[in-house]
Amino acid sequence: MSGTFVRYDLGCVITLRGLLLDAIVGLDAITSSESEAAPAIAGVRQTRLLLETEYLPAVDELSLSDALLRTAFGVELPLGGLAGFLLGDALAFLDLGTTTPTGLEGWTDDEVLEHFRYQMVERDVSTFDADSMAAFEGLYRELERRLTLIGGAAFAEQLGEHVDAVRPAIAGVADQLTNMASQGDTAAAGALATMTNAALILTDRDGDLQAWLKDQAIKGSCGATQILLADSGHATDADLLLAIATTTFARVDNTGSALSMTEGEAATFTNVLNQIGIDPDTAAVLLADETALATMLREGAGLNDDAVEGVFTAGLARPLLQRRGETKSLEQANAELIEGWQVWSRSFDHDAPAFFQRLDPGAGRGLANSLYLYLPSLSSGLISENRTGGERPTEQSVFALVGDEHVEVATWGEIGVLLGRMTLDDEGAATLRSTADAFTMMQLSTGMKAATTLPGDAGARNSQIGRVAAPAVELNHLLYVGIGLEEDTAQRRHAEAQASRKLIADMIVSTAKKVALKNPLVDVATTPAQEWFDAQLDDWMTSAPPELSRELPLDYPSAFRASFLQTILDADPGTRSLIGLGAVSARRWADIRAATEDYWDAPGADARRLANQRIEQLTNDSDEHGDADEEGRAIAQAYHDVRSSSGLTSWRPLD
Amino acid sequence: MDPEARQLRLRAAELRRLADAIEALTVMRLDQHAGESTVQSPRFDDLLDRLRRSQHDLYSRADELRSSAFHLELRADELDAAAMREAALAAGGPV
Repeated sequence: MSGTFVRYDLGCVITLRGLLLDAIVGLDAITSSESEAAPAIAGVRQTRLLLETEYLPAVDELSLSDALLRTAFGVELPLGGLAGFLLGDALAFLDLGTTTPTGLEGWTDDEVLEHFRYQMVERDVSTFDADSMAAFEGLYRELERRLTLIGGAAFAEQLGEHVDAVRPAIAGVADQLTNMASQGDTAAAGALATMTNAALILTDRDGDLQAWLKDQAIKGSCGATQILLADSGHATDADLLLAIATTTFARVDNTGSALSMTEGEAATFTNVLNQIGIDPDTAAVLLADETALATMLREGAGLNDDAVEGVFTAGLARPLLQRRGETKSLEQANAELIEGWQVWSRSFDHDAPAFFQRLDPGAGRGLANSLYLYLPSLSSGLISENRTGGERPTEQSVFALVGDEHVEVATWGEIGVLLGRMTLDDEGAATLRSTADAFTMMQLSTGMKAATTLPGDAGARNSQIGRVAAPAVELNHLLYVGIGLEEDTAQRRHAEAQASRKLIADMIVSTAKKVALKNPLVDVATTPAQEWFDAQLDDWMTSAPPELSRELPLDYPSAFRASFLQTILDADPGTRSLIGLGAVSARRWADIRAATEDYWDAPGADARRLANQRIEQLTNDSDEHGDADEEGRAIAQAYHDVRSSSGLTSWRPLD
Repeated sequence: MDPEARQLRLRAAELRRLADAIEALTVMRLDQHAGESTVQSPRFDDLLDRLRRSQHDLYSRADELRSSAFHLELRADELDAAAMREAALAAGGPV
C-alpha cells in the first residue's frame, strides 16, 4: 500500500459513482451547432473528460481496493446513511499501534478485518472520554455494516488463533458498557447497542461464539446477556432465560437477603425477568423453583418490582392462557391450576425464609392480580373448614377443589397473613380490594341468575343468592384478618370505585391483556375459565348454608349491600319480580342507581358514608319522616334474606 | 416581422435553452456529493477542486450563452424596427 490516508463513507462513495455516470450521460446530451455555443460545448467536453478519465477511475480504484465496495457494485446495497469515515476516526483514536499501515488507499477485506480484530481486545472503556466513545461506537458501526454485507465468515476466519482473546473482550467490554448505561451514560448505551448489533451478526455466522456467549450469560455476564437478549430468537429461548435466572437467584450477597449484583447486572436481570414475564409457561417454571420463588417473595432482594409482578402474573395466570391457535383442555388447565396453588402454598408458608422479611411489592401485586382465578376453587373449601372449625380456625388447613381433586393450600391463618401482607403495598391493596368487590359482585350476580330457576318464594331465592355470595364474604373477612394480623389499617385499602365494579369476566380480560398483549403467541383459554366458575356455582347450589360467626370486616357490609343493589339494577324486571321486588317503582330504582353510583365513585370515606346513608334511606321500611315505605321494605326484606344466608350477619370478633 | 430577425430570435432562444440545460446538468451539483463527508484524500481533494473549477467555467459559459442570446435579440429588434420604418415610408404614413 502506498499514498496517504484516505477516509470515505461507503454509501456516499457508491452514490457518487452513480452520479458521475449520470453526469457523463447528461454532458453527452449537450450539443449545439450554434457558433456562439462553441465555447460552452468545449467547456462541457472538458468537464466530461475530467469525469470520465480522472474522477470515475479514482472512485473505481478506491472501490476496487475495498472489499465492501467491490461487493457492493455487484449487489443491491442498503444505504443506511452511516458516516463510514468514522472508521478512520475510530482507528486514529483507538491507538492503532504498529500494525497500522501508514499509507492507506482503501482496504481489502482482510486488512479491514485485521484492524477490527486488533481493536477487539479487552480495554477499559470506562476511562473513555466522549470522543473516544464516539470513535469506539463508529468502529463497531462500521464492523456491523461490513459484516452485514460481506458476512462474518471471513472475520471468523480472521479471528483464528485470536478467538480466545477476542471473545472475552466482547463480553468484557459489553459488561462495562452495560454497567455504564445502567447509570445513565447514554453514550455507553449507544455504543453497547451498536456493539451488540455487530456481535449478533457474528453469532449468526459463528455458532461457537453463540454457544460461548450463552455460557457466559449463564455464568453471569450481563454484557453477554444483553447481546443475546437483543436477538428475538435468544430473547424467547426459555431454557436460556431460565438458566440465567436460576443462576442469578443463587447469587445471594453476604447479608443473606439481597442478590449480589452490579447496577448493570440488575438492569440486565430485569430484562430477563421481563422476558420470562411474557411467557406463562416459562414464568410458571421459574415460580416452581424454590430458590427463585423465595427470593422473589422477599422484599429487598434488589429485584425490579414490575418485572417480578410480571413473572407472578404470567405464571399464575397460566391455566387461563393458551398458545394462540391451540385449545387448552380442562384437564390441562386444572393440572396447571394445581401447580399454581402449589406456588400459593409456598407463598403462604410462614416458615419459609422469605417470610421473615416483608413481602416484595411486585410479588404481592402479581399474587393479587391472579387471586380471582384461584378464589373459586378455594372459597368453598375455606367455608367448609371454618364451618366445622374449633376454637382456633386460623390453624386449620384449607383445601381447594380443582376438578375432583382436593388440594391442600395452607392454613386459614396463613392465607390471612399473606393477604394482609399484600395490602401493605398500595397497588397490591387496590388490586385486592378490586378483586374482593368484583368477586362479591360476580357471586351475587351468579346467585341471582341461578335463583330465578328455583321453585319457592322470593325469600328462598334470596337465601340462595346469599349462599352463593358467601365465599365473597369469606374472602373479605380474610382480608380483614390479614390486615389485622399485619397491624395495618383499613386506610391502606384504596378502593378504586370504578375498577371494583368490574366483574370477573373483565378481570379475565384484564389478565389476558397483562400477559397476552406483550406476547402475540398467548391467548385466553376460555373453556377452562367458564368451567371453573360454573363448577363453583354447582358446588354452592348443592352445599349446606354456611354457619359463620365472626366479626364484620370494617366497611364490607356497606360494600356488600351496594354490590347487591348494583346486581339488582343490572337484572331484568322479571328477575326482580322473582326475588320479591316486582312492585318497586322505576323512580325508586333510579334513585338507588344514583346513590350506588355515588357510593362507588365516592372520592373519600366521608362521601362514601353519605352515599351509604342515602342508600340506607332508600332501602328501609320507613322513610326519613318515619312513615311506612313499602318499596323500601321490600328491598330491605330481600337484602335481609340474602345477607342472612351469606354469613354476613352473625360474625363475632376473632379470639 | 423581418425574416432575419425571426431567425435571430430562434437562435437566441436556442442559446438560452442551452444555457438552462447546462445549469441543470447533474455535474453542476456533483460537488455536493463529492465533499469531505464522502471521501477525503489529497487525490480526491484535488479532483474536487478541479470539478468546482469546471462547474464555475460552465456557469460562465452559460452566462456567455445568455449574453450572446441577448445581443442576437437586440439585433433582431433593430431589424424589426428598420423593417417597420420601411413599411411606413412605403405606405406614406408617419414614421
